Amino acid sequence: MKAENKATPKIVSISSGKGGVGKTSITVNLATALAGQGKKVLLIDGDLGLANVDVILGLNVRHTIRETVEEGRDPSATLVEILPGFSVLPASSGVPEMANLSYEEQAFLTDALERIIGDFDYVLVDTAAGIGDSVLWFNEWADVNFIILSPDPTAMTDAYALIKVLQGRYGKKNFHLIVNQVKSKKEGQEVYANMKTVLEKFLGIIPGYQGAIPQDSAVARAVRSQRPFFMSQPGSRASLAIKDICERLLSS
Amino acid sequence: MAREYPVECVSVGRGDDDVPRAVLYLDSNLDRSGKEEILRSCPSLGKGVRRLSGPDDVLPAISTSGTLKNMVNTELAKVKKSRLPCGLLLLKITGVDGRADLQKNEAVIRNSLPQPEQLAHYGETTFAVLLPGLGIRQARCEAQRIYEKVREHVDCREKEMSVSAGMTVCVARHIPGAATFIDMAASQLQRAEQEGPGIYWEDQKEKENSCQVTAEERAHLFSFLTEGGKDQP
Repeated sequence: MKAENKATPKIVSISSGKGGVGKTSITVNLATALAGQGKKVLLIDGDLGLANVDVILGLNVRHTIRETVEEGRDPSATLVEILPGFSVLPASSGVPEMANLSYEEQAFLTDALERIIGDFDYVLVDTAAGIGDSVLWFNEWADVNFIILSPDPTAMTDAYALIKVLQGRYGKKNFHLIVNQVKSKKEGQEVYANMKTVLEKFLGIIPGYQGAIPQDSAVARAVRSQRPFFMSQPGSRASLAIKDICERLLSS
Repeated sequence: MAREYPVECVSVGRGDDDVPRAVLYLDSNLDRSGKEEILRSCPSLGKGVRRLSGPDDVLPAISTSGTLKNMVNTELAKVKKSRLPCGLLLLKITGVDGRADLQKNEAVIRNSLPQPEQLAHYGETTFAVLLPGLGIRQARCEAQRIYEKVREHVDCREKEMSVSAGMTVCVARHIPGAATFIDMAASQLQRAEQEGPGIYWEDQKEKENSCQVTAEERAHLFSFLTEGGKDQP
């Protein structure tokens, strides 16, 4: 499904259930890769109370989504341009209230976001960890749900639980799995195959496979340097994996 | 009805317990001879003729936006646009005797609402309260608060009265038609009448728990780790 019309960008949520599996890093680098392909990308930091996107990008933000919600500030005035065609809508850090928006605030935020996303081809939402309201809400809003997991029973269980809730409560079906921190492509495929088997057996869902990202020291170095590894180390194994994922997204 | 047309309510027949078995609504604008002609044509009238209510007894308007269905339609359209949920609470008070009781009950409910225009009639002794913008948890709390207010009022009365309540909540991802939405609340009200006092709603907890990962699902997820790889996609 391509974003054929600028007025209707493809909204992709990136979630995991479990924290620490690499959502933010993958989202930031995927957005960078898409922008490198000439696409206009908006990256929304959906971890509304504990922002991380700005940290990974080394941004010094002055305005965040919080001001849109609390003061009605135009979100387009909050955008930070990272590269031509790649903008970020930053979240706030250390604000518990933002992690627990009321229905009215969520609806207000949706309206505000929908007013600005028309300028983009892709909108990527890096959600918070867990299955809290904001996670579910962003996933419901999205057209496509990317679920990140690692070859770890807790990550797999949490990813499965998230998918189950999204399907059970919101009727979502369009899930795509990305397996992170794998030792090999084969391991990634095995994890995907297992998840696919269980999802199909119990929930009737056949998830897509967006790919696997290998364990790579380039990732940690990039995070510490606050620069996307796709930019700082484009030849790294992680960057090549992101490139594959990007191409699959563009061709879907 | 009394709100829009000035009518007189006339008992047509009374049972052994002196309770009206049927009533006749007469247009108050008719002149005396017109009313007498109509009353003469009714064979069961006689000494049992009794004016139950008149134009001065009209119930104050509950809602200026029309019937309950119209109100629900309006709120469901808002749900679609705003993505905010909406609850509907039906409160039935039994043991009501006459218009005065009805008016008192209505006043109690109206006074408990932040917005009086949320209130409508659903049948003779049942009131409908719209709860816009409230999800299931918030709607439950609000419904409980209103219910407790009505219970307090009912328990203070000398007559034996009881209150039953049924509730439903609509969310943006699945918006039923107005009639269906009302029926959903009505079916919960029916449960309340059959099963005992209290507020009844769809068993949301059951739905929530149905998303819980089962032991069998976990076992399948972890079998990969103990048995090795599966077939590649």
